[in-house]
Amino acid sequence: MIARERATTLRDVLRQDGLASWFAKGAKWYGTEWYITLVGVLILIVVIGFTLLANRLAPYDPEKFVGQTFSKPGSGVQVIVVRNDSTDVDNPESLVGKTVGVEVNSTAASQLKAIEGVTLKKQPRVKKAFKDLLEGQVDAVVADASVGQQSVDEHPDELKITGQPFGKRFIMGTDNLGRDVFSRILHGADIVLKVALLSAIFSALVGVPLGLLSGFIGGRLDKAVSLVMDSVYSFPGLILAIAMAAMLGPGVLNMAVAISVVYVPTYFRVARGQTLSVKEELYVEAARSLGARAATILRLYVFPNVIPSIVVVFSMNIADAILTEAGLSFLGLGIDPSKPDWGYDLSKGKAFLPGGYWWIITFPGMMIALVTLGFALFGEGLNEILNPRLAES
Amino acid sequence: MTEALLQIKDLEVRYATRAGLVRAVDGVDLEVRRGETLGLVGESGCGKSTLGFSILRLIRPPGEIVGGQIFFGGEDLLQKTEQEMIHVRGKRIAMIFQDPMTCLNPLQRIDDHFIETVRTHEKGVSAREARQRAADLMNKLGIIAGRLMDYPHQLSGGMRQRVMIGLALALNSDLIIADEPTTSLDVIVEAQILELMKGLKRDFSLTMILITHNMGIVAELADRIAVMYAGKLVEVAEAVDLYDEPLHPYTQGLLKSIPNISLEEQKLETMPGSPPDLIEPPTGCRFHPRCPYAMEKCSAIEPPMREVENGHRAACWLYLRSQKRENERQPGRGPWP
Repeated sequence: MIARERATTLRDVLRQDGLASWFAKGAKWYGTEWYITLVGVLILIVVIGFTLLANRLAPYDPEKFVGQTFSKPGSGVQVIVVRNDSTDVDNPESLVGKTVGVEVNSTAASQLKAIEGVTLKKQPRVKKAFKDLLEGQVDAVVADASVGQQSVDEHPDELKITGQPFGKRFIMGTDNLGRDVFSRILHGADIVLKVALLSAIFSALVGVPLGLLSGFIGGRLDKAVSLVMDSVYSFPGLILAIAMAAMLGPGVLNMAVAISVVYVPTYFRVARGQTLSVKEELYVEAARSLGARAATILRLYVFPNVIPSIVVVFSMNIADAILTEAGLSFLGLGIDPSKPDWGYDLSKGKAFLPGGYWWIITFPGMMIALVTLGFALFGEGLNEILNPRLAES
Repeated sequence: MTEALLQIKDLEVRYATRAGLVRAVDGVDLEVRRGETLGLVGESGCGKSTLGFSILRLIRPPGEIVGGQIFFGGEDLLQKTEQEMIHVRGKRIAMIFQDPMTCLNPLQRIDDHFIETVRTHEKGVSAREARQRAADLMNKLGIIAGRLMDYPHQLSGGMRQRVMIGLALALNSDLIIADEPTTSLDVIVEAQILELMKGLKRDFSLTMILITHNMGIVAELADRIAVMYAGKLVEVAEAVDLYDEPLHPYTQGLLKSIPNISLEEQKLETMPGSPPDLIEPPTGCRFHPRCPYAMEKCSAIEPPMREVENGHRAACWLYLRSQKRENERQPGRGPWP
């Protein structure tokens, strides 16, 4: 009610003084922190834009190995490719048809053997292989990281290490399998949003009608349903989601269902509480005195009063569901691992952090934080707009 | 005028509270004649609103109608099913509430209230017809039809009460129960609404039960007055008779405690004590602890309701000692000091 009254004044302000004045007075619009909503909306627009335009924006196929592979720190010797031409080719397949200099019995040599079509020119010492490269006898040298780095440092103008996992070709780097992190983030937004949105919708669809009926009918039904909901609510959310996900198996839909189970009680509680208070309002009594049926009261009186709270819970719930989704896929209960998914990338990338590959987990982690923040700000702002009494108190 | 539209017989309503059973309405007999306005007066908490609500069977747990009959147009409302009651509420008996500020759904436009009410009871009516009817009605009530498109919060308290009255009139109900219709309005608006209700009473020949604690309002509107005290009726009379010659000491006390600017005395008479606890009401006559004429008999035996004069009934031992002495009683303001 209050919101509408203010909306009227806002309209009046606009009519009288125009837009500039509205901006001047805007800080007072709907309480104090309307700009929080704006920030939230901007973040969400960017993220949703990512999702919709992922195919166009992403420079690489998120599932293809486009960069150099590397192994966990401590497990085996790292190999780098060094070239002297400008062709900046990174993955091992690009060496097919080329002559590559290697040191005899080195890790690089054994790895390259596995690739067909690569002509190896073996040298007893790696220094000789680099000499071949400088003289143009081979197209590239594959060497252990430490030795290779040393030689490149000695000839910074002629030689360069290609397949850098982080650099100008990959603005957010590549993961250990050589997949572009940026492309994976763009495509991953799609799955995160889908799961979060679906789970929020599912739990609202179950929780709201249950809460309405339970609160409106009351009595034994209310007691029974509330008991079930409270017991679900008393579970730690992620644990329950893990149990559900383990039961249902991987997949976008299953994940959404698993997460939605956790949040049904939230909607139930809000809808029930609101119903209980609206039910006692005098205008419901007045409607009853004029012969309104129970269904009419539920539809025209109770439900519209519940909607604002539900909208707020919904957007807060999405923020929460994103975290839960990330948690599930972090634990490997998400979708097919080859598909880009922030939580899963986070869990795969954490093993490489000690080796200095910080970008593999930083960017997906930042995205999770950003989207959660976006929805939370949006929800908080909506809450202030739709329930202005909260802001006033 | 003498035909009884509503006849309440021995109605008992109780509320089960933690402290005990509250006998809010305890054996009330009352009739409302077609075309008359019955004023139901009494202090707060004496059960007058409960009585009004129980006619529409709107008493909700922990309240319960435990006994009695309510005949309306020859049918006992207490025997009807909930489904049948829906056709009585609004259509045959309508109610106007105390607080117009909270009586309208804040999320619905005024015209939606009318459309919903009319179409609940008259299935064939189109929204357009219902809106037209609402506009006509609003016109009579002094609100321009354009305001029908407003939300309740855009109307003032007085306008909202007019809308509530309009809703009650929308279906030409046989009986309207007005539960303190002007309590939450300021005196100017109150006067307007009272004037309006007077006019409506005349134009629509309404049958109305007017529940109030304000003796001034019943004096304006009521044809007959029933005085309630602690869940029981203590006096029923034609309005003129009641004001001229109140019989029951409680009624006398009520009338004395109306401020009168023309009187020289500056001190306002008040009744000593407060209304009794309805969980354990006093024995005998419930008014006896506060009554200046209390006799031994009063605390022991409950006085029955008897007709003292023509159509003037009271429940007080003062008038029941003997019918013979009735004629000796001095007319006037009664025995209140």
